[in-house]
Amino acid sequence: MSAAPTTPRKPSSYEPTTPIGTPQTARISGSHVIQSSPHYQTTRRHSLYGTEDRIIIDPGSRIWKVGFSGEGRPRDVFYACGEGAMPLWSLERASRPAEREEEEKLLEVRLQECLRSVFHNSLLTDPKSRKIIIVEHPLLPLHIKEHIARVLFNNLQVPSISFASSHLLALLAAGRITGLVIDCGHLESTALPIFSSRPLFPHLRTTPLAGSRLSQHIRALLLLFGTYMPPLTSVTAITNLPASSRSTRVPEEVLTDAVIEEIKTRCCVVGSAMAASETRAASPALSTSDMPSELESELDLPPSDPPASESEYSRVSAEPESSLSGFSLVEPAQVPPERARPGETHLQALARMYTRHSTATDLHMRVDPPPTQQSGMGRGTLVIPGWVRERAAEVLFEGGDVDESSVAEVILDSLLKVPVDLRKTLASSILVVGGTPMLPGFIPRLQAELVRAVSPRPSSGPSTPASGRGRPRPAPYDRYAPLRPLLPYFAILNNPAPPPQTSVPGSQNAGKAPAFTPASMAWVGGSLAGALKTGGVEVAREKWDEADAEFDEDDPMALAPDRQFSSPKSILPDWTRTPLPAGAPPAPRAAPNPVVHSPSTRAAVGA
Amino acid sequence: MPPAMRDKITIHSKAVVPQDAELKGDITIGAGTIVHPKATIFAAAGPIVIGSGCIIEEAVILVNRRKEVMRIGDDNLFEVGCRVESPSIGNMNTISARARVHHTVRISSYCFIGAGCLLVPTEDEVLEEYTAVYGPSAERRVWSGRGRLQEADLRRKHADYLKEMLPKFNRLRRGDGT
Amino acid sequence: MSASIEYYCPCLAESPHPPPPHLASSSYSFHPLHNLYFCEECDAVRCNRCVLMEVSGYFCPNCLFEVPSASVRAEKNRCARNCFNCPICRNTLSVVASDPEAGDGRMSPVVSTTLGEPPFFLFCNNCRWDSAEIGITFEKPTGLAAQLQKFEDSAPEALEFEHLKEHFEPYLRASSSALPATAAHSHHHVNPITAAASSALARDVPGVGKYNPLSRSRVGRDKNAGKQEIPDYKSRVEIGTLGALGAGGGNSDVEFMRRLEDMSEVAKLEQRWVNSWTASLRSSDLKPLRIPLQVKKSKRCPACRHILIKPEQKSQSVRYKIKLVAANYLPAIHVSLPHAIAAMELMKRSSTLNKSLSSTVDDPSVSGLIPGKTYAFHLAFTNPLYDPIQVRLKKVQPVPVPSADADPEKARRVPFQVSLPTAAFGIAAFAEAWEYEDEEDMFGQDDDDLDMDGHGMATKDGRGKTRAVGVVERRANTTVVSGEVIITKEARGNIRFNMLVSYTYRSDDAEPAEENEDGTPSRSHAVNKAPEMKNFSFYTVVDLGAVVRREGSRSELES
Repeated sequence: MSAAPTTPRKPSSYEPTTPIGTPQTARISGSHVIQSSPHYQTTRRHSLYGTEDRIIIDPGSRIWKVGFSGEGRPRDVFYACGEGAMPLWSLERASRPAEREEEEKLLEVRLQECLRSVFHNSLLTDPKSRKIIIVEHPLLPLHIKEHIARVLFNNLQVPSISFASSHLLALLAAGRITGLVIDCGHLESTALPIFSSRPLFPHLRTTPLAGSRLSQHIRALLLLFGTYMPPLTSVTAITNLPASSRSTRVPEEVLTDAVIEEIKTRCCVVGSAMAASETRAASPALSTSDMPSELESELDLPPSDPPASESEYSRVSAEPESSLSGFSLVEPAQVPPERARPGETHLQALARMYTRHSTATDLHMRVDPPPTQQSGMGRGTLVIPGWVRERAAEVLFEGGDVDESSVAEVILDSLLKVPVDLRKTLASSILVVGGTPMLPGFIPRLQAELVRAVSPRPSSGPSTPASGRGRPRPAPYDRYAPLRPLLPYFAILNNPAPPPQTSVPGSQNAGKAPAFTPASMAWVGGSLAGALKTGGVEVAREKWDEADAEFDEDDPMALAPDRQFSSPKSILPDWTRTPLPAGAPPAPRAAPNPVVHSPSTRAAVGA
Repeated sequence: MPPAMRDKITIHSKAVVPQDAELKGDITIGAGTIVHPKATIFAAAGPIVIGSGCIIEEAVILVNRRKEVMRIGDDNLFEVGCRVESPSIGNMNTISARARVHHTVRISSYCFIGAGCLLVPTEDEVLEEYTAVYGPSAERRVWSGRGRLQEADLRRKHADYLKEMLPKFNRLRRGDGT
Repeated sequence: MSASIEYYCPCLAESPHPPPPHLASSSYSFHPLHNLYFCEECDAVRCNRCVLMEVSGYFCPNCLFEVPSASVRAEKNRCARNCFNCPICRNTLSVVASDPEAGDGRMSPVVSTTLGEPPFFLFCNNCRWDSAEIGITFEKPTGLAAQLQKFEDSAPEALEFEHLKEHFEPYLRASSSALPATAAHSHHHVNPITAAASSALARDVPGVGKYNPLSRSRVGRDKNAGKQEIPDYKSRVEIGTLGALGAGGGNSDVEFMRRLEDMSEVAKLEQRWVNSWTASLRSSDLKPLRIPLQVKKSKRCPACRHILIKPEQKSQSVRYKIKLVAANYLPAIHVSLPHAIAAMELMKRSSTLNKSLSSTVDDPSVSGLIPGKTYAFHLAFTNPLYDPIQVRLKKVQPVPVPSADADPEKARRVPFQVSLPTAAFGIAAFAEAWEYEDEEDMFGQDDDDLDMDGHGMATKDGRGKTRAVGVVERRANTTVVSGEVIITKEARGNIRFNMLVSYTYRSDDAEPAEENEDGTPSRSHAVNKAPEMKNFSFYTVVDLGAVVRREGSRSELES
């Protein structure tokens, strides 16, 4: 999956719309402003509060940030479809044509709703006079981009839209044009090296370990280890029962998306990495020193885990349960058998390990009782174990899977792809952006994980009794050995707790970025680009209308279902698209097959 | 509840209690306290003692379900339609309209319970001084107490006004014996 | 409510047919009548999803001050007077004075009229937050936002932003104006080895070559590579130092979170997410929010740009200068299920006897639709026009043509059969007098005159005259017709079907019949156009409510 974007059909070809050598290139954006409107050029340097102010929209699958260029913070931030609702889009698309069509329609109407609300409710401005900069995630599927453009041009009649890469913009907000940017959002974490304001898209690496995975994990942990105390059943109910006898397992209905979201954003914290020795002491089953790769085999347990690893679990669960009672009011014995799922024993092993090393306090949260228990007597109480708060985010750092590398591994993988002479520069200017890094402690932990993954493994690693673990382990493959010389250079630009300064030149970058929040950096960068009158390839409305008309003429019988395949909007910039040979006229849709396919491969990658 | 509780109602001469107010059980009402018509004070299991300067508005229900004395301090305001069963209430509290306070909560002083808040903890607890409970999920915070003098002043004026007006339109009730 | 009807707005779509009602995305195309507009130019319904909106005035919803649009921008769309929202609970804050300093306790004997004294602060009546908690007080109780404005202007993110801009501006100017020169310059220095390396890189890294055919810098061998063009940016406030000071983001936050005892100490995401600057997580550090302005919007037809609705300028006014709402043009339709109403009546009566009303009202089995049964439903049409109209109904097939490749199982079986009166029926004209009369008036005297469209229906009369289908009642400008729905055994979900309503109206009389009392200056020309009968059709979706499954759960029905 992660390999898809890096294999374009013709490697040497990007930005079909880029006229090579256009004099007025906005170099900073890594692409060229198309001078489609002469008016634009004459009013290029206009007053701060003129019509030249652009509108910056950072559309996420869940959270949108909108505002005017030239301002240091977005005017409004909102959930695209209300808190707790399903995201606008996800990594999957329906495969059946009818469902796909419905999904598309739904997406379009929801996008329309959001975009209209941006202008009419958030910014209170007339869309017809405002140029737009869309902060575009590099893996934003083309069909979504098209929908956005269609709504903006057709429904709101904006004069022009520019698409600017979110990673690049974030880097701008950090005052740099070279760096390795990792965006840890809701659906995906995506690392993209950028050199001298050119995003090196082929080296992009991505993993689904991001916000939504974290939410899932929190839910799983709470279902197993959380405690729920329902509200009283009536005013006169006897309340002398001790809390422990009233507390129950957490009903699934209690953990709505909104509740999980609140726990994630208000309670969670990323604890520092546990030393290998601690891990070993905590649980012999997990006592391997190379945490990332060992743990993943233990931890990353989808329910469909192969039976080969069963022995492992039973071993784990056979250990005395004494340590479990410490963290939860619910004894494991209380677990109703039907609730037990594959992987739970494994989670309990985790719990045992983490509780011992977590000093975080348990929290009580008031939650709405499930509908069946609503008695008009207020809310129930959810007890969130401290270790869950502190260790839920471990899931993001436990990689090793080919498709789902950890957040640190994604950075390293991307770095491995980068030409050798760039690595040092990029390693010492890593920028972490997105909503998930807003978790306190995330960035320092990421730094630690990077160092740990690259550090030479202690010799004890391979010598662990691999044979006793049910599955013979291959000789450890040292994936990141080529990066080992970079070890002293790793520096995260926006690390709020940078490691102590060393004399190594690159590492001094750590913590030197301005103190913008990771979540808002892409937006701030967009605002900056707008203020500097740059910001990506601009698509003017005339051009859109032209293409639109052309498409309609050509193919009046075009049926909705295949609209997204015979993509009419080839005028939208798209880095995956195969370009035309230089000098060729802009081709309409009747382009060769590769053009047709690349959007769909991107669609599979998602955003 | 136990019918053993005999009506024994003591009303200070400076209190205003209309005959329309429903009082049951062993109740003592202090000086300057105003009870609106159609308020209900029900000493079901143990007696209720209300201090001075309280205002108890229409459709308020005060119930004592416990054996011990339910003590309500001075200058408390019970707004329309609230229902309070706390075994003890300090001074200068405000229970807003349609709030409900369960008998597991003891209220100290200067607390504020917002409109419609449901306070039904499952275990006994005491609301610290200056606790404010608000919002649909009965969130809590501690307020600074700034402005409480002005609030007290306003409440006194409010009581003074009621003391003047209520008797004009309602038949007052006296303590036992009348 | 169980039964409802919504009107279709095509939103400039090419296809005049409404989308099938069972799809989730279709619900966005249907609107309640009172949300719709009507463009007289285009003779079409318009909705809030397709009209062009224009700002016709800004005002503060709290103080109703009309903000001149010139200052809206600088004030960031927020009220710049005394209007603030509580950062904790979003209630409106009020300005209050401090308590008198004297420690005389609660027994200040004199009832002083104004106890307050100068340091003023903002106070929330809902959650009792006050701005003095975070150290914001005011010397005078007016123009508070202006007093706070200077903090906003010197906000760290604004300063840093300007700093960033200054940093990039020279670079940008150089690259945009002197690009050819730089290019020549750079080529000048390329030696064969770097050129070879460069082309190798361009080959290895497919993006690079195209992105920057002129660049030579990548070949730079070390960390300085990227910085030849642009000097290092020196942040005003580095996140590292901020974190070390404990001002946010750093280890202090981690410690704080770890020791957290009460969730409410941490600000909610919604309270923090507009901050682009790293700030404290604590809810005790939140600042009051200026109240966002609102706008009065005028709306235009997307096709012809005529104004559909235009409010009066004054923020206090709730009247409109122009108001072309669909309710003044299209007959209002009210759907009801007689059996459900009867059931409700019965329940109301019984509820006076026993108190279990709350439990029975929710019980869908009483008013819901049971599979395998046949129900009558009533459609009450109310004519808003000053002329009588003739209405004809047509049911749209539950499985519509456009999505031919739709879900095969859905297409296979039709879960219910709807019969509607096929003959046209008349509705008397609207007259103000009827608003006041409650007895049935004379009606139907012109039915026969207008029945010219009706005879086309004669062939189908056999079907239209079934037991329960036809006109049930006529009163004033309302006509009630009855339809029937046969629900098959395997039906589930909501019974929704599309219905095409066509009505014929006479537009020959000189008085602007469709006009509402507000007066619409732009519509007089419609009169001279067509002195004869005109026809207008629109689609609706009728929702008769959920089919009750005896064993199924409610949640299943929602899907």
